[in-house]
Order: sequence, then structure tokens, then C-alpha cells
Amino acid sequence: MKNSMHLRFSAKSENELFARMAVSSFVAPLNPTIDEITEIKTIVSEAVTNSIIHGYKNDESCFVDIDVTLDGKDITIIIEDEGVGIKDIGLARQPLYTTKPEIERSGMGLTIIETFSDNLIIQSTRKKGTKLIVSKTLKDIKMVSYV
Amino acid sequence: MVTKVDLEFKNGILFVRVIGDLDHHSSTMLRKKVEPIIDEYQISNVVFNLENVEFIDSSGLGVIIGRYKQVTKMGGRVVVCNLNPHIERLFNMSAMFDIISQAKNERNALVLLS
Repeated sequence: MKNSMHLRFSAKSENELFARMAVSSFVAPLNPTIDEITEIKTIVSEAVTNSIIHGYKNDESCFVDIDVTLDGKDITIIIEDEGVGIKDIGLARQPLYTTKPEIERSGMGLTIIETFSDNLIIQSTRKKGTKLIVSKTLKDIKMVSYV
Repeated sequence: MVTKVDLEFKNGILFVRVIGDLDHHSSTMLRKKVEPIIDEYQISNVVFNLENVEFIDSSGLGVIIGRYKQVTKMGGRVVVCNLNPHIERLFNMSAMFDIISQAKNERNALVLLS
């Protein structure tokens, strides 16, 4: 039983809230635990923030795309931008590494996404953009049905 | 929901009580509000009360680290209190407690700083 959705929104920081609320609402029918919902919200928030700050360097005329697919208890979240891309993915994945310490980045974004997901694939091309493919399987699935 | 902040300066400590989510957007707003106050009043000790924060991400950690860097220059400290389990987990993951103390509530934070 597959279900999917697509979101496209301006790369504005106030849309971070919208993005994580929309994704968490979409997965809600699978009855995730509060911990799982928080992890999903955090993953989306971190990824969208990265696209806005690093990918687009705060150019609000750009767009971020999110695709979510639900398949049983498997959730796939794809967060994509058409920004500058990541120079060194290996370095970017290291905890506490940031290219922007001057604006108080903790350097934990990708580490947090990695920790809260079951699998993270990063595809990035310089000047073309970055795509994060996040997989997460819910521990238990309890479908609520209304008759 | 718009994130709000309640600021109180008493006993030489700035209490920052955040209400709402602390993400990149609201953290930027919070920094713009708190950073100049710390500078203007030469505040060295800051307590972040996160009782009414349900959600935080690495940007929220960033703004707290930023205040830590700001006040340690003046020999001050940052204490966080009333963390929910999610926030505590994120703090642990990021080794935040290596530099920032945790208190159960504002009263305990006051004891820690005096």
C-alpha cells in the first residue's frame, strides 16, 4: 500500500516549520511514536536548513523540493535543492564540521540526520545541487481504521 | 506558531525563556534579540529555560553555543534548564554538556551560577 506526496516551496527560513509539519502530518496515519515523529521533523528541518543556508546561500527566490513515499512501514524522504552543491561530502558528514562557524552553525546537521535515519544517501554535484535520500523504517505499525 | 521569547535580567543573570520551536528561523530571531542585550549590559551569565520548547534542531544548539562563546569571553557561563527528552538527546549527541551545564529548573540554575 504505497502513498506519496511532493512539496515545492520557496527557500525561506519560515518555511522550515511548514516543511516539517507537512511531512509529519503525512506520515501520521502510520501512527509513528512521538520519538519517531520528532526524529522525522528533525531530519526535515536539518535538511531544509542546509538547502537554504548552504545550497542557496539564503537566496529566497530559489526552491526546495521534498518527496515522501510511504510503503508499509518504510518511509523515504527526499530533500532536494538546485544550489551550489557540496564540495567534500566526506568532510561535510563529519560531526561538528561546518563551513559557516561565523553564523553560529553547530556542524551537527548531517550527523543528526544520519543518527535519526536508517540510511542516508547524499548525492551532490557542484553548481547543480544536492539531493538527500533518507530512509526510515517505523518500528511498529498500527493502522487506525474507521468503519 | 510563532516562537516567542521572554527575557528577564535578575541577580546578574539573563533568563531567556523560549516559547515555541527553536529552528534556524526562530534561532536567528532569538540571536538578534539576545546578542545585543548581552553586549549592552555586559551580561556574563545566561540561563536558557526551554520548558516551553517542544522542538529544537542543530540551529537551536547553534544559538546556545553562540551565547556560550559570547559570555565566556567575560568569564561567564551558560546554563540550560527544563529540557524535554528529545532536547536532552540532541544535547548529548552534540556533546553540548561538555561546555554547557544543565539544571533541572531555574532555581537550580541559580544555585549553579551563584
